[in-house]
Amino acid sequence: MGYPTLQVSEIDERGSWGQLQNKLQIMRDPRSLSEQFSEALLHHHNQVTLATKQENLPVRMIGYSPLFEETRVYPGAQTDFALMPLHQDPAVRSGQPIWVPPHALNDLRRIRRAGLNFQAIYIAHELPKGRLLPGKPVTLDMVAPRTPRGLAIKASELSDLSWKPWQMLGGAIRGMTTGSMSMLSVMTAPALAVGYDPIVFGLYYDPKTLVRGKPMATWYYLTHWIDGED
Amino acid sequence: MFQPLSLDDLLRQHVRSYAVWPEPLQALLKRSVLLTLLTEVGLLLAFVFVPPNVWTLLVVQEQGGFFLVGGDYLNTITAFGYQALPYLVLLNLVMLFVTLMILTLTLFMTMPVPILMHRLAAAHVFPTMLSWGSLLVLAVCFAVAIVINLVIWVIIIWLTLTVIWVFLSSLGNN
Repeated sequence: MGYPTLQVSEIDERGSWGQLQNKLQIMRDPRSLSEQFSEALLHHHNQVTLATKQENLPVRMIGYSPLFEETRVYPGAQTDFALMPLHQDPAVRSGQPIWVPPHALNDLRRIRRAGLNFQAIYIAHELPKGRLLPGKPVTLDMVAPRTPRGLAIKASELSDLSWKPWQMLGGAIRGMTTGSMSMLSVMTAPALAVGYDPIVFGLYYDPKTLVRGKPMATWYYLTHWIDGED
Repeated sequence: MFQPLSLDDLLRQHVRSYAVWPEPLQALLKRSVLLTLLTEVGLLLAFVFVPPNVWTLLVVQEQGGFFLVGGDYLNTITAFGYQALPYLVLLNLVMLFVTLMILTLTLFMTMPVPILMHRLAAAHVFPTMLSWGSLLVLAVCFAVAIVINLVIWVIIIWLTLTVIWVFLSSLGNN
C-alpha cells in the first residue's frame, strides 16, 4: 500500500523538537507502527496543514503514537516528563481549572476558531528530577501552577500605589515622611516563581486503525508556556 | 476504549486565563482599604450628625475681628467648601458602596481575587483622598491665616505697648 506524501513528521530529529519526540517516544514514521496508514488521519492531517498555513497557527506535527489512557513518565537527564491525557491531569481530576497565560489561551482559541477540534488532548508536564516516584501518581501539588510573575508584580505595584496617598497624607499631617512603610512593601514583595513547561498536544486518532489494540493517532504540538510566566 | 477529552472540552471546561488568577490582596492594599472605609464612615457620620450651620460658622463674617487680613479669602474658600459639601457627601456614599462591595467580594479581604479587584481596590482610594485633600487645604488655609494674623496682632500689641511705655517714660522724665 502506498503511503501519502505528508505522513512523516517534518521536525528536525537533532533539534529540541526531535529530543522531545524521542523523549516522549513518538514515532516520526507510522510504518514502524502499522502496515496500514489511516485515510481518516490523512484527511485530518491535510486539514491541519491547510489551517496552519492559512491562519499562521503554532501547530506542528510531532509524529505518531497510539492513544494511551494512563500517565506515562519519561525520565530525562535534568528533568522528567509526565505525559497524560487531559482527563488524567491532576487539575482536571480534582475539578480545578488549568491556568493558562493569555498567549497560550489565545493560541488554543485560534486553533479552534480555524476549525480544528483535536479529538484528544494530552499534556506533558516537565518536573524537576526526582519528584516523580515510580508507581506513584502525579499529584496536583507537583504540577500546581505558581503565581504568574507579571501578576505578582502588578499586585505588588497596586498595593504600593494604594498606600502612597496615605503616606503623603500622613506626611502632610505629621510634617514628615515615614521610611517604615517602604520597608514593609519590600518585605511583602512576592517571591517570584520559576517554573517548568506544560506542553499541550492535540491528537487526531482513528478508532479503526489499531496498534497493539490501541487506536493509532497523529500527534501535534499546540502550545506551551512556562509555569508562572505571563 | 476511553473517551478522550477534545480541544473543545479543554477550552469550554478546563482552562482559565491568568487574567482571572485569584491573588490575595497584599498587606498595604488591605490596610489602605480599611483606612478608606474608616475615612468614609467618619466623614459620612460627620456630615450626618454635625449640624449644617456649624460649617457656616467657619466663615469669618465680621470685619475688624481677629482676622485683620485674609478674612475675605477664607470666606471664599469656606463658602466654596460649603457649596461642594453635598457633592463630597455623594462621592463618599458612592465610595462607601464600592468599599463594601470590595469587602463582600473578597470575604473581608480573606479570599484571593482577580487582579481587576486589586485595581479597583487601589483606585478607589483616590476619590477618598479628595475629601481628605479638601479638609487639608481648608486646615492649611486657616492655619496660615491664623499665624499671619497672630504675628500682626503681636506686632500691634508690641507697638502699642512700646508707644505707651515711651509715653509713660516721657511723662516720668517731665
